[in-house]
Amino acid sequence: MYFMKNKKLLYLLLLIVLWQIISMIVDQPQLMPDSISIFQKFWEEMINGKLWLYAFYSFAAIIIGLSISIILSLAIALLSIKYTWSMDFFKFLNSILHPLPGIAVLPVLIIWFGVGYSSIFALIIHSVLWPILTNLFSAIETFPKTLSKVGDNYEMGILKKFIFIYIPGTMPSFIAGIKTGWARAFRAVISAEMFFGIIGSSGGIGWYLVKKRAFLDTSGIFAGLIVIILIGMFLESFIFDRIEKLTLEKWGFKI
Amino acid sequence: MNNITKTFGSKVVFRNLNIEIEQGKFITIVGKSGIGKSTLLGIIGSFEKVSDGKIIFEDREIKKPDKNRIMIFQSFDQLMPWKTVRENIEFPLKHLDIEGLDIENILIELDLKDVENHYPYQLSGGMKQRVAIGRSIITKPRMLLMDEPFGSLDVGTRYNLQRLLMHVWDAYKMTVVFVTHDVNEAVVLGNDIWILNENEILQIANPIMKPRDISDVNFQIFVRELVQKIK
Ligand SMILES: Nc1ncnc2c1ncn2[C@@H]1O[C@H](COP(=O)(O)OP(=O)(O)OP(=O)(O)O)[C@@H](O)[C@H]1O
Ligand SMILES: [Mg+2]
Repeated sequence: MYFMKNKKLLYLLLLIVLWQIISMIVDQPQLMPDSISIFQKFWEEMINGKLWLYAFYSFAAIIIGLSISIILSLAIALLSIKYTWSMDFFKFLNSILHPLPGIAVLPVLIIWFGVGYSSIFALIIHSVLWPILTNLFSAIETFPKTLSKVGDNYEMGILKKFIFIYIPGTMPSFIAGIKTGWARAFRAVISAEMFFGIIGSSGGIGWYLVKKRAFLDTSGIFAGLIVIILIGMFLESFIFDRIEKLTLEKWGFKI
Repeated sequence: MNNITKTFGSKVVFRNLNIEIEQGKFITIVGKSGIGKSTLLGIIGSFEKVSDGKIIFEDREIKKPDKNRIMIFQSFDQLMPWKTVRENIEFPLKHLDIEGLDIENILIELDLKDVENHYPYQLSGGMKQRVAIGRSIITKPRMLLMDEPFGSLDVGTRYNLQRLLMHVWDAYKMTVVFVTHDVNEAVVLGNDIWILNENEILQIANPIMKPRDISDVNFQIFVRELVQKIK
């Protein structure tokens, strides 16, 4: 674990040095600012340019959208355990809508919900819900019948069985679904923000990038990209990895 | 059970079957594969719906599984992978408002004290079945229904678990209905041995005294008699 971390750090350092060398050779700061000025810019923007605020807006939108999607997917899963028609119907819906890229449905969402957070949330839900459902459905279908029968034996109703047996039992697929979903949501949100510009009092990180491009502020763009990478890394290695360690690995679900 | 008929599509497994299970007995059911042993056990536990007929338990007609008749399955996936041994055994008490047996006693009696904090993936097959037995007895059910619970275990483990089960039965006096395809096992465990043939159940009292020894001549003669009756 420590070795792994150190190795990653080493690679990062290598990348920065490489970037620095290449940017010095290219010597066109408009195209490729050197590492140091990118970091300077990043720091400056974080403090004065309110870059963190932009990042916060995007991050918050994703977290809220993700939460709504998780609740929705659980409700659909519960319905689908109880009724086969529900499973069939949502599987059908899933097969149509899952392949649709988020950004492609954006025009429709704008017509329905207007330019604003409602559209962004709808977009996130579209990006996240289908991957989660795909995973949940296959987990439910292969779910050990014996476990469900154990629940029946102790006179648990469908809701109790869902909460205490199905949810923990399908956790690996559930988490896998959320992981795929979140990555899709992140992409969709940034594209949408670039498309929308300012919503309400501020814009997200996507809008920040568009603004920086308009001012030909290349280091600013890279500062924005760093933030996006950091958010991704934070979710992957702090949130998801932590959850997996606390659940799947402990329960021996992981290979 | 009165006039039980059970069909799967056009296949009739039982027709107008009548059986009675006496409180406190240890009944073993043998019969050839596909004859309907699991189906019968499922009907007794209300996991299988009957096509016709009634199941009466202590003077009441029953239609759904309940905490009085606990099923123990052959498959190892009856334990919850996300719970430790101790949590798995305690699981029923968390969801039923009843006073159960003392978990500490169960852990000791089933020799699970050392692994109480292990997760199921860290256990051997025999241990898993012991945990399943622990979970099933903690609620003091009236009846245990077991479908070849030791079917996929090696001979030694099987022998130990048979002895353990006898001990549990002696201690808690619940009715046990135990399905097996191993006639030796049926004779070691059962007060009564039921031979399930096509639409016929032979109920034979076990004449062999406890402790029953497989290598004993009378035991072997009795087993041979039983085997001849399985059609
Ligand atoms: N869900 C089902 N749908 C259709 N037929 C079934 C179903 N379950 C069981 N059967 C049929 O009912 C008959 C009895 O099956 P059952 O599982 O009770 O046999 P068994 O005596 O337990 O066999 P084994 O010793 O192999 O476990 C078999 O012929 C089987 O094919
Ligand atoms: Mg069977």
